[in-house]
Amino acid sequence: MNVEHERNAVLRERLIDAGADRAALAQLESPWRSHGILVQCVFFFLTCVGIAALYGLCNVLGIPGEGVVVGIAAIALAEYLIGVRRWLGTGVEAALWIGGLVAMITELPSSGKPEAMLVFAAAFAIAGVRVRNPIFGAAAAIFVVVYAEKKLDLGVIAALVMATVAILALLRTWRRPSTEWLWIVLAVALPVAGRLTADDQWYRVTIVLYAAFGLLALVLAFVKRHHALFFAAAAGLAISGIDIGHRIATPLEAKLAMAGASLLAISWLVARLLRERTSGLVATPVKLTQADEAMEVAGALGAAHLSRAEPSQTDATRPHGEGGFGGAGASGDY
Amino acid sequence: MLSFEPELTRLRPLLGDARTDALIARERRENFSIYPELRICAWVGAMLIATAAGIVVTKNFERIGPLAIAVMIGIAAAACYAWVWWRRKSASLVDDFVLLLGALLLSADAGFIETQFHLLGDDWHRHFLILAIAHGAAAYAYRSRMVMSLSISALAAWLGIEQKTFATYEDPIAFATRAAICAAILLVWRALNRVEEFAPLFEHFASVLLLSAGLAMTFENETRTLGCMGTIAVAALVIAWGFRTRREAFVLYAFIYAVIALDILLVSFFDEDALALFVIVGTAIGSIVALIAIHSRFRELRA
Repeated sequence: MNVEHERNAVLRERLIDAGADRAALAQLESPWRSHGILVQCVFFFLTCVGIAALYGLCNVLGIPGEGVVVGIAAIALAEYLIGVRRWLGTGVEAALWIGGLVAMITELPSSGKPEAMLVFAAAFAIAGVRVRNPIFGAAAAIFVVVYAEKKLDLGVIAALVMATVAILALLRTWRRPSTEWLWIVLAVALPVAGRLTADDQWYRVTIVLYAAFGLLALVLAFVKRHHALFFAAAAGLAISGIDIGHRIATPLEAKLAMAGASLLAISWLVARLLRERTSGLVATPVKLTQADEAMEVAGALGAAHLSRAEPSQTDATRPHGEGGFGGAGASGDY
Repeated sequence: MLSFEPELTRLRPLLGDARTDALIARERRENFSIYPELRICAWVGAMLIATAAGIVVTKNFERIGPLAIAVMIGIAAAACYAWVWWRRKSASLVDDFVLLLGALLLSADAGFIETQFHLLGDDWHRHFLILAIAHGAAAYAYRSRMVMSLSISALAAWLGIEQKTFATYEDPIAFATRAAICAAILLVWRALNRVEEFAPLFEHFASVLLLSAGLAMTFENETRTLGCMGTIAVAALVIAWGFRTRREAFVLYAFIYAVIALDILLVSFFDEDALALFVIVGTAIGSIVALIAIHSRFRELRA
């Protein structure tokens, strides 16, 4: 997919949201088949199931080198779909590429060395570049972070360096939307991934580094007005704040209540300050993604989690004064 | 940064000056709304306070005593409802989450009171029904979808629908029956409902419950075939509803449920692993092809 096709596809979606008519949309035709994020996820899931079943089938049939066989078949099919059928951004070709590479990796002897992380990083990077998938790019970076932690004990540094590069990269104008999205995912996901690798002995350094990263991202967010920079700042400052909170000898509930009240107060204050504004930074309702309906679905799916921490509905002999409480969102235990 | 200014300038004759200027202003970030950030911030704040309230209750139960705790939480919940009611004419985006916090505190308080004082005796689980009614009334009074979802959750809890029952395969038939009853109640509620923004909530909850009910029946040998057929039939209805209402989410998750049910049904006919895996490969390919056709048709309808 060349730059023009990629830009046309993204702009077309934006113009559909803006209510543009067919004549304008007709100028933005792209020969590529691609889908929205929700549909991509479904196709990705179904394709992964198919690849896993094919791998299992080859294994059961005793076909030698089943990983290589499945890998070659999957990648060949992906290339056919991309090259001949012009599929990119459907979810199918992405699953075929990454599934194929992972299937091939299973044929490598397991050594248990940290370098294995680099093999997975390479697989995700190759697949990410080929199908221009930012999530694969972020996954590759996360494997590099894990490698840096295992090999050099520098997971946090590696994550924050890459995240900083990403937020700086977001300052310039990119032609390809997929490149922009890669930087966005890296800027938001890597600070979180880095924190998961942090050692307790370096907590002061961790707090300082995350606070510095968060403040840098926040300043840039206000200067450049970019949602991803706000979220990167939130990630950095939240991690730093949580780590500071762990070191303060105040009851957890007091810290949570203060943090919660502060966030509510900040939101209220900022919304109030921006209420009359019509230009610059404003607080008018906008959709960040097309996932409003997906939120509803998530809420519906959450129905299955209804009373997980609540007293059993069939437990009529529950002892007095014991057990959990709650319902419809709040729960606890004694 | 991304900027589509060159393309928008080129399309100006087709888009019109007003729309083009507005879109270019957005590209240049002359108007930049931090509404999503503020909503997330407020939501996190409400969740933290609700969590803190739960911990306060747990840790100070012995020291403060149950009556004082129940009164404190009740006052806090009432304060949240009162705050939002008082500000309803000049509501800000934060008020939604203050209301949510109030509803969560009310849930916690109701559960706590029932746990400690046993007002309902052996019918203790009826406090979920009371919560469902209270949250439902609040949802209509404040027109809040989030509170309505809590009401539906409480209703389902009252009917005894638990994730652990479904996930651990404990009495899946009972789960399926309860889920089906809950879905039926939601569909009736949907028919009586006069607030348009609540309708999708009822529809999604009812769909997921019905599909889960069908899938739960597949966990038992005696009801497996019936469960698979039921899931596929309900999925077909949900997909048709998705087409009718132009909501693709219905189509997508119903399709996934249908594929899972079909796999279970077909695999149950084969004892050999190789044949079962072959079937799964086949259904995966078939389902991708079918979904492509469904998605294309959906796009045509929406165009």
